[in-house]
Amino acid sequence: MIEWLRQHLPVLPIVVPLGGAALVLLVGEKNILLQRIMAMIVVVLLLLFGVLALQITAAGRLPVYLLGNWQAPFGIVLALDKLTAIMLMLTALISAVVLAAACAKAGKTALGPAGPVKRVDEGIYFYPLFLLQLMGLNGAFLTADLFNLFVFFEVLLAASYGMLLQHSDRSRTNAASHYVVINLFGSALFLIGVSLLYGVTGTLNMSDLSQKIHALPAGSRALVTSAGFLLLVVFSIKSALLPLNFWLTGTYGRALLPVAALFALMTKVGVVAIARTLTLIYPDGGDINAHMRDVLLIVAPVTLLAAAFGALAARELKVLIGWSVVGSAAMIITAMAIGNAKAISGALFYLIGSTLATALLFLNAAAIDASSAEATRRAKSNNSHWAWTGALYLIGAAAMAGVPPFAGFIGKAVILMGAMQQAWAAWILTSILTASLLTMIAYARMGSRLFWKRDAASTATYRLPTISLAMMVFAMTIFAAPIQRFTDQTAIEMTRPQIMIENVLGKLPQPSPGKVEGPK
Amino acid sequence: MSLELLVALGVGILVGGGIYLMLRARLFDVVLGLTLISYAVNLFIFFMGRLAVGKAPIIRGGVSSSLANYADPLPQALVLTAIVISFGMTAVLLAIAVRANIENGHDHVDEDGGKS
Repeated sequence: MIEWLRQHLPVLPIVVPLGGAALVLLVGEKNILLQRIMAMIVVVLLLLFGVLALQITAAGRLPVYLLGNWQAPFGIVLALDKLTAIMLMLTALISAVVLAAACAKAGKTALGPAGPVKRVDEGIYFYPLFLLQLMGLNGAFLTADLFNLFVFFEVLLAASYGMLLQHSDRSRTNAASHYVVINLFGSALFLIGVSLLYGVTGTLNMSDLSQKIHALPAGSRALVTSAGFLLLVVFSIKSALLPLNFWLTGTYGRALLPVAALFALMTKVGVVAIARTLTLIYPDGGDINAHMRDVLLIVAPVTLLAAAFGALAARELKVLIGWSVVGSAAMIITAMAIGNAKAISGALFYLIGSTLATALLFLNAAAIDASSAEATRRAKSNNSHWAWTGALYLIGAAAMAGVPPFAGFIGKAVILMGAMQQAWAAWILTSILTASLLTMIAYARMGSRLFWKRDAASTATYRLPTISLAMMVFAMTIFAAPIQRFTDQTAIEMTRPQIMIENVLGKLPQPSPGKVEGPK
Repeated sequence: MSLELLVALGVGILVGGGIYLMLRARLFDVVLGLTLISYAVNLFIFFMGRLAVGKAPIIRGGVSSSLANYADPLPQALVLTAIVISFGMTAVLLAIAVRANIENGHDHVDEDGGKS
């Protein structure tokens, strides 16, 4: 059984949620309990796959899965490297917490100002959309084919449109229309980039592209460069880099909070795609790679600073968290653009920590109800909820801003060490440190407004999911050494694209078990 | 040469029209603009497999299998996927646009009708 699981591991994180979504649809909207149980089974399986993936890749293997048994680069290939394993595990963890939150009984005033609100999962088709979103995320992390990446982007976006529109009201519909339009336009650019690359190189397999681009004649370089920058623009839309980030705060700020917590993963898809572009498709050493790095080293730190100022200007907690999502993606991209193994390792560590912290903050925001400040003032002896909500806010904010001893600090420190070896060190260090300070001030100010002025009321909404997220944030500090060892290995693997290329292009199809006949 | 020029102009005009419509800040126009752009993109993918006149993408016996004798089948498969996806997404966007129109009482892309 375990052997079979290992053999088919790269495809299972895609197939299982897809099958689960289909089955949940069959159950129908009447039987919410059964839907919930099925979604839980899928998420438990995904956690299992995540652990297996970490185990296999930690042993130094890089499983490659040929869909339809076509040899690369002719068929679509899935590849499970260390970066993918980390992302699969992170997705499984976040989705488990979000699922727990969706199933949890939402507090009376948790989701909106107008009295008792329906539970999250009473939106029609919440669970099928949730599972399809997981399928899209996992697929986008696993695929080693550029067009397939586009398809999985569309899967996860289509699911996210539906998730965003859960319990939709006027402002949510408007946010969704902006979000859909920018993503459709992004998809158009993605297709142009992909087809340009195909037109020049005749392949869409990332590993094959990497080799073909290396060997191109000088005449085709301009086309390939523009294709690469188009892809970069598309991934920057997904990960909300500066001129393309204005959709994010509006969308995340208006989504239901458990949905927003899941969306914290979606910017990371863009980040991982940028990492693949910089390390695999246009690997280090080429002139196109150098141009991309230069552009990103300007844009990403500027985004970092803009996000910090946005956080300072935010009057609402959700908007503040939205800006820190922008900031954390920009931080990781800065580190990816620095590009040495040290910075990448720090970026991966920071990625895990900041995603957990974002989910924690979003879910914890549900326990704060800004609309019933009156009620709080009237009932002066306020409840014990505040202590928990405040503590969880503090943990989330500290992890997000990167205050020791939390995960964000360790990641950030390693990124800074990596930046020291770079020619742009002064600019990068200044922007990262300034942004950290401003983010900290923004969270401190928001916290003092919420918790000392008691500008709001607190409920016990999503207590269990938020506490478990806080435990994970702590665990990242306690187990920092083994995690960092793994991210170090991941970074080394990413700086050596040859490993991926050899594994993908060297994978032979399975011989067909039936008719094995020699030529007559 | 003239075929290439015609094709390139066609794609360019579609994109130009699409971008003009998208910038009009009315939801219906934006949907139309995105549709035009997706047409242009689909054509572009198709043309990236090179323009071939009178050639089939299916291998026949006796004709050597190189791209000199056949049309490239892969962009045709890609464009099929892209068409389906853009069709579905446009339908979703239309549904959202209709709903936003009903809830806002106007067709502007912004909630307040672009007054602020």
